[in-house]
Parts: sequence; structure tokens; C-alpha cells
Amino acid sequence: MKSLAGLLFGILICILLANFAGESAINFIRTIGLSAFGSKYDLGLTLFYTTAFIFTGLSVCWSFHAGLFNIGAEGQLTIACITAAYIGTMMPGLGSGTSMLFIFIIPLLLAAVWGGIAGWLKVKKGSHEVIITMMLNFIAAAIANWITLEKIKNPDSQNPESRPISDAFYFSNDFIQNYFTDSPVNFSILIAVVLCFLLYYILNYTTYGFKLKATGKNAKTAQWSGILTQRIQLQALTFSGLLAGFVAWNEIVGSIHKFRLGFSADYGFVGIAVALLSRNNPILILPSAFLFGVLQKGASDLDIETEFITRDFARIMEAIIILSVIGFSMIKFNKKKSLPKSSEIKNDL
Amino acid sequence: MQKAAYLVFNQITKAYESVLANDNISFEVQKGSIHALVGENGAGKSTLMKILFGLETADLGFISLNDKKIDTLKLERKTSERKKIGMVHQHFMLAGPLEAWQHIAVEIDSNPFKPIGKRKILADLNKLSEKYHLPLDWEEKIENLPVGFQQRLEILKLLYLDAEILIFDEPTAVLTLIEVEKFLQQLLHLKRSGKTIILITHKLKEVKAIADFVTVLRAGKVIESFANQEKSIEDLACLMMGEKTETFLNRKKAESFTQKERTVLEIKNFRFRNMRTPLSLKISAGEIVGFAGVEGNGQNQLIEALMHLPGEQKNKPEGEFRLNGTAIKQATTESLRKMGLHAFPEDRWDHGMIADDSLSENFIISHLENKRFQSKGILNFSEIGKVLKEKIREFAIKVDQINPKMSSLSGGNQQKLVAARELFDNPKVLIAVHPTRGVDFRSTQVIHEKIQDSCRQGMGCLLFSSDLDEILKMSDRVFVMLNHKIVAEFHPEFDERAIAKSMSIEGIQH
Repeated sequence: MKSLAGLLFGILICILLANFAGESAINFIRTIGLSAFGSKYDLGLTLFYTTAFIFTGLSVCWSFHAGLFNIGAEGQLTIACITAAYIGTMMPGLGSGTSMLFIFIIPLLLAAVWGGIAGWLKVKKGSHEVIITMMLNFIAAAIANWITLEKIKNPDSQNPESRPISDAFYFSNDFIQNYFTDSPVNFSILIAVVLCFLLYYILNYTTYGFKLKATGKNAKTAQWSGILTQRIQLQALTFSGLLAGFVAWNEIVGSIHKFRLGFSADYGFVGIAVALLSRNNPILILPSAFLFGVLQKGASDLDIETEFITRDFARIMEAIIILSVIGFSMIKFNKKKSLPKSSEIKNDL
Repeated sequence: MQKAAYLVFNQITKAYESVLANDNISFEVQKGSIHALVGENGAGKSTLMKILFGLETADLGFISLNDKKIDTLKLERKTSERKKIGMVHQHFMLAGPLEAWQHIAVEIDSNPFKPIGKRKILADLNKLSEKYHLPLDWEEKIENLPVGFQQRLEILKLLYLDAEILIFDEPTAVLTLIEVEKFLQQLLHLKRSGKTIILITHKLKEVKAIADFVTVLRAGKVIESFANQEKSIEDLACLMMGEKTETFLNRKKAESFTQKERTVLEIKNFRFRNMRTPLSLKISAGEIVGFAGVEGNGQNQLIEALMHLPGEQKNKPEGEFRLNGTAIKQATTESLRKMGLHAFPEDRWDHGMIADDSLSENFIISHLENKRFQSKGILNFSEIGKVLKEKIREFAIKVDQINPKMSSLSGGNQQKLVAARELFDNPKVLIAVHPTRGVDFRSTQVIHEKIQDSCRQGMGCLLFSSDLDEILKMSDRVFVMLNHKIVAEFHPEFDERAIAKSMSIEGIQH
């Protein structure tokens, strides 16, 4: 409830700001609304962004529960996407069954390894996961550049992008894409939604989820209770990597079918905001990711359709909304923390 | 020869919520003397010194210095009286990368834009060092100085700032034996040059060696204040620990459940971090073994090693470890718990519970593998609720709703839940660390009874406590730990004086 109030408050502030900048509130809302929901195509594009944000939001949320801050979703998804592109372009001849297996599973595994490297360094060497995941982002980007431009460059295009993957790898009978004609949204969105519910279940109803949360809330207590917190942390970052890797399904397999440099609309970083906004609840990641999808889509039209507002304003809106949601949720947490009552301390005489 | 009183504490009283940390404390410190302030942890020494130093306010009472009153009700540290008081904290307040002289230069109040005259300061400092016989390499980086010299730097800083009263908080805790001797010599030098020294410690040998006067604090009260030569070191130990005959009504251990023929825990040549000597112990079923000792003498390291908590990789404990007859290699906390080694941690708030979680979550955290609470990794909430309800009744835990947050409970009730958790599922060995610290009388009784009940069923128990009464009441055997080793073993009937003595004086063997 607090989050919702914060959200409305944030949107109100944004509208006031837009008004202040000289844009009428109605025009501002209409622009964003039309851009996001105006047509089947527009809605499809919004949902396409939403899908990517769900995956990265889940990725960040999962490691958050283990007390780790994964800002490496961007690098993890890059690794997955470049792997998928590489497999799709270099091994076109695989039979339909195995080819699907390859292009779905291997990118996920490599993304998991990418997250696992950070986890391993954290657990074994005590390196801070924020630094490591951030550095791995750069390394992943460099690898992707090199493969795209040196190994699988598209000779028919002026843009820095890979050759299209073989159509043997496409989702077969993608009814979602068929419904939203020409729009990039695809079957992955169903997988994203199912993952949200699945992870919610694991977090709240299984012993593994319990161990994960205990590790994040109080690692010392967890250790005393026999939970192998180091193993949990390693697994958490690995699984986070895997979740971010699903973006490859959405991007490479599901829609664009090639690796374009700079394709990511900062999916990995917006994922942090998505997770924050959802307060790390996997189910609330759905609306949260959708909101960011809307803003992402709306941003491009703000530039064109309005007189005074540029696309950067969407970034400001994101920031304001996150801050107000967090601010509102803090009100709840500000309750006086009850410390162990010293009246209980035994007076021994 | 009685000198005039110099520093006078008059009826200082300080309450934290409902606990009196300082209860009507009055005593006098004479100029140019070494005054030792001794007492157990939590006796109120630090609170009193903080009030003197101006870090805490008192609720009542005043302090006068040279007949001038210090306002203890205000947090003022820059008054002319308080400037005469300097404190060397137990953990030094030093910035490692600075050079020694810079540490003092930053204390000088002057125009912040004026360049620091290094040469002048160095000259002053060298003069100071010479005057007090405290040589120091002023241009060395602080982090490269040995601990004894770092302490010397702290002392010199106070001298530079013209402190007349020097407070030392457990100064020898960090020093090696040789450094301790040097340090004590330094104190005598300082005394001769007219400084007044207040020494907070519980190392009685040192007190005996150099103090002129001693004040014993216990439970926030002054027990006695006297000249050092009036009492023997044994008397001092007893004053500090207290006879506490009133609480001994049910002190005598009711019965012993020890089954000598069954050993539940056996360790041989057990080595781990910071332990001076390898350790060997045997604990029988039903036996309660008490570990007495002033805190910080290696108990925590021993407990963590026994539980095989994931510490730094290099410091894995080594040696033979047999639990319930099975030799264990490659132990982890998880595997040991599965085999029946349970533990209450010392620090309930940080190591024993998750404050924001509910009681049921705090209960199952160490029983996640228990088949009653889960099948194939999926939690069985109705069964968890049932067991929790049972335990709440059994341990008389006061709750105002079915499954409240842990943080909403009082300390005693939190501890009862932790006890219920650790005694659940028939543990073979229990390591109980301060099981009743900060716990009210009634809850203490409950926890003690429950531990004894489990021992009747054949559980062995290692009881670590700084409360000697608790140890004497519960234990079948008592070990005393001092300076990271076990220095003595006692059997009933326990000689309380002897135990108290061996806790603070090294080299007494039994």
C-alpha cells in the first residue's frame, strides 16, 4: 500500500515538474499514454521492454535476498546474448530439437558462470561483489564487441551488428508475436511471468528460499544455525546471472534475431530500479517492470511530441518515482526499533 | 599520610532505562596516586569513566576536581576542568597512515589555514618524551609502530595536551608480557612526575603491583575503597566477584545425570586460532561442564572452533573430534548440527536470531532439515505452527499474538525461544554460551530446568558463562579459562574462592 502511495506521489511530482517546464499536464500524460498503449504495435514494444526488465529485475532481486548487490546483470545478459548470437550464426545446421536446446541453454549457463565468477571471488577471496560485477560488465561488453565485429559481423549492414541467426532457432508458432503483429514482444514474456511466480514460491515456501533470506538478513545467525552461507551466496550470484541471461531469449531468439551493439536499454541497471520498486517481491516485479517498460517506451516520444521535454526527462521520472516509493516505504520502517529491554538485565543482588 | 582529596565522585547515579549502571557512587582519588578501579564486566566502570570524561551525562550527583565542580549533567568536554582529564581507550583512536607527530599536531587548536610548524612541534615533542622518559620515533608511521609504542603515543598526546588525570581502560589487554612490565614502569614514572592515574582493569596482579588505592565496583555500586596494602590479592578477587550468598539459596546442584560410561564429545589435540595450547576434553552423557573465566580469554575462539563456524580458511581447527562416538573429519556447522551438536550463541541479537522475522521463522532456522518441518524442501507451515505453539507453552514464552516478530519480545522471552530451538530434537551435545545473560530471574529458572531436563535424557552440555553463580549451580565440573588456555579444572565441592582467584591470577595451579 505504501509503495502504491509512493508511486502515485512520484507520478504527481513528475506531472507538476512537466507543468513547471511549460508542458500541459494533459498533453504530457497523453503523450506517454499514447506512446505506450496507443496501438497494438506500441503496446507490444512496451511489453518487450517489460520482459527484459522482469528478467533483470528478478536477477537483482534474487541476489538482494542473499544480501548481495548484483549490479552485473548488464554484463551477464550481454554474455548470454552474444553467446546466443554466436551459436545462432555459426551453427545453423543443427536439427530443430537439439538446436533449440543449444540456443536456449548454453547462453543461460554462460551467464550463470559470469555471475558465478563474482560469487566465487566474493566467497573465496572476500572481494566486494559490487566492484567485481561492475568490472565484469566492462569485460563482457568488450568481449561482445570483439565477437560481433571480428567474428560474426553482418557484411550487409552499416551498423555494428552481427549476422542474423538462422531461422531454425526462432520460437516456433509464437502466438504472442503473431498477435502483436510486427512488434518485438514474444513468447519470452510468458516465461518471465511464470518465473516471477515460481521464484515467489521458492522464496516463501521452501527451505532453500528460507536459507537464502536468512543469509541475507543475518548471515551470522544463519551460520550459527548451520546454514552454509558462503555456498548460498555463491549460488545466489550464479542464479542471478542465469536469470539475467534470459534476456537473450527475449532479444536474440525471440525478436531481433541478431546482436546489435548497444541494443540494451540499460536493462541490467534499470533492473536494479525495478527490484527496488518491487521491494524485492518477485510478484511485484511484474507491475514494477511494466511501469519501467512504459517509461522506456514513452521516453522516445516525449522528445518528438512535446515542445519542452526531452527523452532524458523519462530518466528523471524514473528517479523521482524510485525515490518517492522508497521514501514512502521508509515511513513504515521508521517505527522505533525495539531493542532488548534492559529491564530484563538481571541485577544480581 | 593522608593527602587532600583531589578528584571526588559524589553520589554519581546513572540509569539506563531501568538498570542502574552507577548506583550512588562516591569515592575519592588523591593527587599523584595510581588509583585502580576494578570490577567484572558490566560493573559500571566504563559508564563512570564516560561520565567523568564527558561522554555521558549522569542522572544525579557531581564530580569535583580540585574543589571545582564539574557539571556531570551536561555533555561538555571543552571546559577547563575536563581538559585536565585524558583517557587512553582500550582500542586506540589512531589514524594508521599518519606519522606519529601528525597525530598530535591535529589536536592543536589554531587557525586552520596556518601551516603546521613541524620543526617546532617535533622539538616540543622530543622535550616531552625526554621529560617523561617515553622515547618515541616521531617520524615513523603509526601503523608501523608496535602496539606498546602506539599506546605510548596516546599517552604522550595526553601529556602534550596537559592532562593531569590519565584514565587507562584495560591498558594491558593488548600488550605482551614484556611490554606490560615496561608499561607499569611508565605508570610509576608518570606518578612520580605528579600525574594522577586511574587504572581500569581486572588483572589483579597488576593492581597489586603498582596501585596505591583500589576501588571495587560491583553491579553499579562501590563495594569498597581502600589502600592497596590493606588487602591481599585473594581478598581482592573475592570482593570483585562477590560472595553473593543471597543468590545461593538453590545453589547446590540438585543431582547429577552424568553417565560416566558414555562419552558424547571427545576432542584430542584440538588446535585452532589463538589457542595457546592444544586442547583435549571428554564430555560424558548427561554431564554439564562449566567454563568459567573473564570474557575475552579465548572462550569465543574455542566456541567458534567447536562449532566449526566458517572463519578464515587458514584457521580451520585441527585435531581429533568425536561426536557421540563418531570421528568427524571435514566438519561443517551444518553437518555437526545434523549429528546433534547444538549451540546457543553468546550474542543473541546478532548471532542467535533474526530480529525482523517471526518466532516460527526464528524457531525453524536451525531445524530446516528436520523431516517434521519440510518434505522435499517444501516447508510444512501447519506442522511448524503446531510445534511452535507447543514450545511457547512449554517454555512459558509471553506472546501477545500467535506468531509475532522476534523483535517485539523482551530479552528473556527471546532467549527462551532460542533455548527452545536449541533443545529441540534431542541434541547430543549443547554448547550454551551465556544462556541467561540479560534474562530475568523467572526465565533463567526455566532455561536452567530445561537444560537439566535434556541432560537427564543424556545430553552433554558445555556451559560458558561469565556468571560464576550460574556455573557453580549448574556444573558437574568446571574449567577456568585465562589468556587463551584452560588454566584449571575443579570438581565438586567447588571452592568458589579458588575458582575466582584462578580466573584473574595466572600461575595458580590446582
